[in-house]
Amino acid sequence: MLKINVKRYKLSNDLRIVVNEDFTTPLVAVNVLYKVGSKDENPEKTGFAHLFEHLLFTGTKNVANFDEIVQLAYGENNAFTNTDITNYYINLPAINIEIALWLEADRMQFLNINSNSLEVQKKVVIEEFKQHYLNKPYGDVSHLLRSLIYKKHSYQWPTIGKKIEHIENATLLDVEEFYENWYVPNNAILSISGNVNSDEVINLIEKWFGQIPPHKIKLPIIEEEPEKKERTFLQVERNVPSSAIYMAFLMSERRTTLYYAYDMLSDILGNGNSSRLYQSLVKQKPIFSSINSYISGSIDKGYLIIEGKIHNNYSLEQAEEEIWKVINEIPDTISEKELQKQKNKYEANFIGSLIDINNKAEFLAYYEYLFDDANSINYEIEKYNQITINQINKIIKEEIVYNKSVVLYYKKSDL
Amino acid sequence: MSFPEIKKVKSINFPRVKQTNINSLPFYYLDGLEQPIIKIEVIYNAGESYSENPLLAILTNRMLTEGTKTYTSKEFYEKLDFIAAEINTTTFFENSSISLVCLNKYFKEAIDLLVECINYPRFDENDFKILKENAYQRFQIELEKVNILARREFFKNLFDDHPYGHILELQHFNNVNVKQLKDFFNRLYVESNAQVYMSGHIDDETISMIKDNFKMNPATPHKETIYPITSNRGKKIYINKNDAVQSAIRIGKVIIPRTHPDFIPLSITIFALGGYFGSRLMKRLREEKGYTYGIYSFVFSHKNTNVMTIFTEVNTETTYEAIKCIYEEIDKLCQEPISELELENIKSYLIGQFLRSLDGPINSIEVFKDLNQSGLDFDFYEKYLNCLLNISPETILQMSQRYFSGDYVEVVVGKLN
Repeated sequence: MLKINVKRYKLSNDLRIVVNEDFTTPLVAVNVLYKVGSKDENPEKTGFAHLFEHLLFTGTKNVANFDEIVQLAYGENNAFTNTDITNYYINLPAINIEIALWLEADRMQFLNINSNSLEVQKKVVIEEFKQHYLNKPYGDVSHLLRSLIYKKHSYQWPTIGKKIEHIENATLLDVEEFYENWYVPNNAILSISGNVNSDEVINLIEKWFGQIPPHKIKLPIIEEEPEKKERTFLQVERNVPSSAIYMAFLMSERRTTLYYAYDMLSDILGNGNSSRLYQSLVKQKPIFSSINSYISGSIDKGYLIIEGKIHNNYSLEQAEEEIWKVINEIPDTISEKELQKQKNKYEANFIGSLIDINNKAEFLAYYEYLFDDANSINYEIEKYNQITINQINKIIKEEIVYNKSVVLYYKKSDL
Repeated sequence: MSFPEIKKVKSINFPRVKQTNINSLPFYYLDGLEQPIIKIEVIYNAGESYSENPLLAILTNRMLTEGTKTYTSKEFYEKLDFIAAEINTTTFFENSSISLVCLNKYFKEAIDLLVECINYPRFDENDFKILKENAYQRFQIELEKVNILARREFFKNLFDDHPYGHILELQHFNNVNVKQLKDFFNRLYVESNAQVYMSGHIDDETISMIKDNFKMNPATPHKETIYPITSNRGKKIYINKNDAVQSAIRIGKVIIPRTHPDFIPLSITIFALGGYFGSRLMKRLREEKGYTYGIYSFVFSHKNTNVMTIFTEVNTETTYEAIKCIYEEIDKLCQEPISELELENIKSYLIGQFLRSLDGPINSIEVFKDLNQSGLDFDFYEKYLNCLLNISPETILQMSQRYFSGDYVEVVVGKLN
């Protein structure tokens, strides 16, 4: 079992705190997770959570230039937004931890955005949209897939937003409302990993965050995604060098046991060179130039996906048929050894990902959010180890089936 | 409430890399990781520039992990995945690398697999055929990306006939075979042509296990051809790609070698231009104009030469304005000294970067490896740190004036009007 030392606290304003003392580094990572992501957006104003994350780097009332202070304190900072959360971090020498706490506390209570900074960041985000989702081959896949997989749930648009117009239309009023509702201590988790003494650090946190008032949060109503009853299919043609196929299946929520079984199944199918899809369809019958399987990993119902790029002498229909053959071979052929291999890989990956204090701080905040206790990080490997062949067989027989499949053919155009 | 004061960092502890030899093979290592993980990387002087067809180096390196004399490719990956070890290969212009990461508890098994890869690769015809075709398809996809196209054109036009300018082309895939790969392997994947770097959770037992089990094809002498650097200046290449929604821009030129006394202050100056989020270019083109998601300038190092490059992807509508802004920012650095505050920012940021890049043995050995390959060691960074702590706005101005003027190779790929 992992033994990451974790100390947890809660301030009177309901800000939750997790501290991990790590004296092997001179640095510290200060991480703030806000429980808001693109799933909380208004369907007519998508991409907002992410745009907002950009705006929070343009300064607060007390700090004209956020990055400059971080840099002067020898730090670096960044953030990401996904469907479920918005996460900020500052990494700096532990001697300057108070600077990071001051900045994050400021960010939580003194928004300072004007129409000029909004206009510039809208442009920047639109260029980000183009760079990653329009100007690259297969760049629009996540837009297409999400809208096929999710008919009710707000995971139906990617974090960057449904379309560029939504970003263009964002107003200062939207910005203020968003900030007031979500950027409050009772919606945040502050986690710290690095060369700090937990008693000292908790006093500093009380000093900077203790006075911030909590605020009642208006939660949007998010519809649950119903089970699929029939195959969903779309074909698009694009100017790409080779056709690609994407096959997705709705899966269990993050906080369920079956989540881990889905994760292992996706790896048995298509993670790495010893996986079944790779060995069958890249090596034995070379139909695909690459093929992978993985899960989306979201908190509400995510999806398991198989994606592959096809050699030009095969059709998409043939390719799909061959994938089904591999899927249908799985029930009752998984060996204990094959399962153990996956368990060993989770252990190694998980331990490896916790070397970096930024990751460690981020994970601690995330596990505090997921399971209301950051200590749950220490049981994660155990949860994978408890998955049985029966659980995986049941999923493949009942869920990874034709009538529940979402299939996208991304066809190379004949230009 | 008064704001907290920033505490100054005045010195940095550089780690002490240990060295031992296995036969004539230099073996560098750095211990001290708490987590039970070990990383080993073997570097060969066998990069793309070591043959006429750069694909030879790439595919030879990749074939190391496609089965060995003892195991087929499938058996190899079964074994490797079962012990949850990762072996990765990467090919650069000058070097090829194969690295292993594993948990300590599987170290012995993992080392045995690595030793198989580097000494007895299988070079199976069928595995080769599949690998080559898949690489071809991936390469075709790469060629659809404007930033990749711009980078390719940039190096081709900067170096022309020098091997640094010979970059992978589609036709290279037509004339490469297993025999050539085997020859390339036998010629270059030998003890006298390699170095090994190890880091992580290392104790005496690890070291003796390495000494007992790690072996490599014995030395055969080989000669390295050194081509004199010839580089172009002032070439401008504009390539139209009608379906592009952003234009990729790459501007740069060859600069002085690392051993030149001006190299350190110059690299700090290039950093000021576009090395960090608060840089001149980022402030102007992203934060002020919103033309781009990001713009950077940095020094790209080959063994014998350094290239200053500026790169970005911008809104196609503002391509020409963006280029104009880039040159204006270069000019500004040549005309007026930067402020004390801006310089302070740069110093702190770079010192912070040092601290992070030296945090823990796995990060630190990367820094050492990079230095060692250019024949340097941490003394270079002591000098760097010294220069950084004492550099003045006047020096930055001098460097800009001395090295930033004109004659850049300029490449634009995108929708042009």
